[in-house]
Amino acid sequence: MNHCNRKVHPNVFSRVGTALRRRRTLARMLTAFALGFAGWSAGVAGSPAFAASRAAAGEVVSDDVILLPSGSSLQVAERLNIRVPGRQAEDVSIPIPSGAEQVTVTNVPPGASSIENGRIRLHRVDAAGVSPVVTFSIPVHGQTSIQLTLHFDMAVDLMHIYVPIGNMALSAPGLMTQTETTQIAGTDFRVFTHGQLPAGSDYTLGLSVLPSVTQDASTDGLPVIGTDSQSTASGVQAVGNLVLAGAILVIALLGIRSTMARRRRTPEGATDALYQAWEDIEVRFARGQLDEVERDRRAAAIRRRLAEIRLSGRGGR
Amino acid sequence: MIAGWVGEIALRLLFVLVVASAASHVVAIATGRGTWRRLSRIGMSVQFACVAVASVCLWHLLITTNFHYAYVVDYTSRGLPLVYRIAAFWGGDAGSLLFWSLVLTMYGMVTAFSRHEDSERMLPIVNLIVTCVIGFFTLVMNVGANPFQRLPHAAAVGNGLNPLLQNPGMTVHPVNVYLGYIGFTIPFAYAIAGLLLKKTDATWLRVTRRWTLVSWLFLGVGIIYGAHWSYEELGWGGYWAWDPVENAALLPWLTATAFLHSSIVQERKGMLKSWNVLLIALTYFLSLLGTYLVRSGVLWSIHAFANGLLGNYYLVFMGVVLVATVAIITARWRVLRPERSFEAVVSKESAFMLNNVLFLGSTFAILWGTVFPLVSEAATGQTMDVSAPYYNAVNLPLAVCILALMAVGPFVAWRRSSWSHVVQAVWMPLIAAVVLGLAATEWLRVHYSAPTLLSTLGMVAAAFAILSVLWEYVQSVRARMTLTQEPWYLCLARLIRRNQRRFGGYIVHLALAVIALGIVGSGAYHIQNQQVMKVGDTAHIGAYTAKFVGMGVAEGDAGETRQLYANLVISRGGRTIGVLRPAAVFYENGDAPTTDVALFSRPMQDLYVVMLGTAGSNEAIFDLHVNPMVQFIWFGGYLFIVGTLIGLWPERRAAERRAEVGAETDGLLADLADLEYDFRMGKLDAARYTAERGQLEQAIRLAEAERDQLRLRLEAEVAAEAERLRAREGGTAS
Repeated sequence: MNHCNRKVHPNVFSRVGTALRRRRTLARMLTAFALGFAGWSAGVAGSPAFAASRAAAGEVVSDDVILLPSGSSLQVAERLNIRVPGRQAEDVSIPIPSGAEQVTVTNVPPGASSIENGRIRLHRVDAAGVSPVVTFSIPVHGQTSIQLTLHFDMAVDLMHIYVPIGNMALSAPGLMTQTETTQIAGTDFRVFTHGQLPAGSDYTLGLSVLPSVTQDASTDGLPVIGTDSQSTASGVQAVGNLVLAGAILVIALLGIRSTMARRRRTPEGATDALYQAWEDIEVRFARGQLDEVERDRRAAAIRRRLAEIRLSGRGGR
Repeated sequence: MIAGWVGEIALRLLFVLVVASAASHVVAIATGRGTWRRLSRIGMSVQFACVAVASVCLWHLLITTNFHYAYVVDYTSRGLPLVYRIAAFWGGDAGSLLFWSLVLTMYGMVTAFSRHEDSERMLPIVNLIVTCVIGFFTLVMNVGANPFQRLPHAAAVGNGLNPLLQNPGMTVHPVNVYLGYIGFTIPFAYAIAGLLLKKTDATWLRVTRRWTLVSWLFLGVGIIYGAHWSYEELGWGGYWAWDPVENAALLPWLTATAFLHSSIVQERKGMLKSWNVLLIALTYFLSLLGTYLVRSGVLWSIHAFANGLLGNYYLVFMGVVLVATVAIITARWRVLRPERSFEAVVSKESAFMLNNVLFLGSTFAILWGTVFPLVSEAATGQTMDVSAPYYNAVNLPLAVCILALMAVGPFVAWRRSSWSHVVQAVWMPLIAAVVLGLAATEWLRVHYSAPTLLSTLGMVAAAFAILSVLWEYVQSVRARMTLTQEPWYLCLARLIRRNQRRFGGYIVHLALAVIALGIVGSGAYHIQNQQVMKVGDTAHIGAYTAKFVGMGVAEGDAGETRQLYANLVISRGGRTIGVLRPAAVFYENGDAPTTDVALFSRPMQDLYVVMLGTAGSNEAIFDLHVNPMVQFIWFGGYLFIVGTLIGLWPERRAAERRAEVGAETDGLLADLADLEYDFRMGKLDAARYTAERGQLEQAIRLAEAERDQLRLRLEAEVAAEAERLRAREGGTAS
């Protein structure tokens, strides 16, 4: 039996391809994101089952990460919903990802945040929580795939990752298979969901540019051998297997019907069946499987029915 | 648009119909009147009609990609091929619930219109149980997961079916698994009906044998399709990873296999009554558990394609089923006493029992490993996963034992046998199997890799099982040829036709042994080579050579995907065979890229190549595998279908009603037939045969005499009752 890791996501693809497709202005996007996020995010929020409460010093109830490639950089906007359970307000800090530039924090009161030693510090966060929007950019130096590692000091209950629909593909571990789509400032995004992440964990996202179409590579006239799951032969096989399942079902149902009694019972047959049922009762009573009251009740009913048949002259006995 | 409205109305109407049908079943049970029984049957048909209408409507919406409906938006896109738009029906929660209801109502309708021994009393109860299950799905569809949920305005684009599901295997794998899971409802309902009626004979087994068999077949085929999908789509070179969802499908299949064997013992010998009820209840419960695991998201799995919202509904339903079943079995435990006991340690009955122990051992080991992450999380707060080595360490030795038992079982006589007779019967196929198994192991060692003790034993056991089946066929045909003087092919055809169950079962044994060969070959001897290659580089694996000659990018049919492929020129023994194209597929909709495996299949081995990634424009990482004998698994799957279909093939004679007294005589006559068969097949010596035949004939005479006496007594009572009635009628008239 083979056993090994699962689906290999080719997140290391860095083939030279077309440049990133230009998007609408980044400034417009991020403004919309920072100011209007709460309103529309409610529409794409995941299952409340994931929003479990936690007794730790601080927790990220939800983290929404927008990834937006833009020319020579990857723009990232992250809205964190942080709270500190308990009565005491505490400072919490958020690590800034390695390589991040132009870091800003918005959606917090003036003076409530500071950036120092590679961390964003949020002052006096309490149980009511705070929802800072952190934006930063990761430079892209000609490559067509980029990886971003987010570190979480606090546990995360739910994370949504927004990827623009078009020429980009996301690779990240542990994502739910079900995705949603949404539109922000005129751009369509696919929304991926991740469940809980424990405190102190790293989460790496890979973003790749789709390769551009090329001429068919040379095969020196050799035939392409083998099959893959997208080939016509596989399609035919799939349809054939569905037909086979249908055929099995039909044969099985015919087989089931074939074992059933086909004709209405004749009077003789009905009499015999009643006698057999009575014999059943007597044998089961003799074996102790039936109590006396039940046996008498059922035997009396059958006896009476048999007598009636006998009197009507239909029973053949 | 109208299809959506009609579908929604059909679902609402179904809810009302289910309640009305349940009421008619209850009245039919309480009164026993024919009118209510007819209404009860009609109720089952109308339920099916309603679900069929809703299903046609959903298919229409999916095929026409009507983006006014949330389900259509979630699981289709305009570029999705037709076959996957059809398959989207069971791709999501709401659709799969409707599909489940469609199949269950169809099964319910077929059952409701059946006629069999004691059907007047049993069917209303069976109908009620099936209707309750349908009621659960109807409730969930109407409350929690409506496939006809309308959006405020049409969506511009659809999400498309999950890329991992866009595989031919995935169109048919869920269908088969569902058909299997759902089918177990019928034998379960009959078992419960029998218990409620205190009817402990084998009626429910005779009536539901084919239901169990077809459900078991569908589940088995579904598991094989799932493995094939995993092999082709997931790109790690294997087909079974002991994933929770894979395990969830395997568990009821294992218990159903045990049940199919132990039910033979009850049907023929009146033994293992309580055991069979427990087994079918466990099978049904494990089917529900499998659905729960797939649909709840409680355990992470590559096979779980759901959003997890339905888990709580399933949990409540499973709780209700569990409590009700345990209560009914406990209340009726007393009446489940066997009619006979085991007569000898070495007998076919004991072999069946041992088979059950092995299957249940495997079931509980897998169940424990599957739920252990949940148990550990509940107990310690930390999730601890159980990985493949645990499952392999427990299950592979058990599988070898099952194969050996599968080989020996047919050679053991009913009632009483001895080790010496068993050895005498099996020594020829056993020696041939040892020779063939060791030769195959040596061949595989030379061409692939070094064997282990377990793989060698597995190879020998599988060969033993195959040869024993062939031996049994040869012996049976020869015996019939001696008796009838018919040509061998006619003997073979008539043997199978006259005993579909036995000879179909042997073909299933053969299929499973062939599958076992595939598992041993591909698991123990597979070779792998992961290599970074530049254009012009060559990789070697087994007898194959792969030369990397370049890469290209192609666009998918509807422009929604790009396929980045590599060209590998494959040669073997200096002869160029052709070009293999492993690829990566990128999706414009933002989904993660997936790999397209390039597979060059030959009957004895597969060359399996995955492109893991690229580095620059002329460099890529390839994962090359050679999987010996893996095709045996898929061929074995088709053989498995053939064998089971022989068992399921329609029969000319209907099942006969047998009362307990008649059943006792029938049982003794069956014993006599078994004795004849075992003697002719060389499983008994002449002295034992003569002695046992005498005993059986005496027992049959006694049973017949007792039956005649009983019948005379009953007829006398009827005559007296008739006199009383006549006298009363005379009195009333005067």
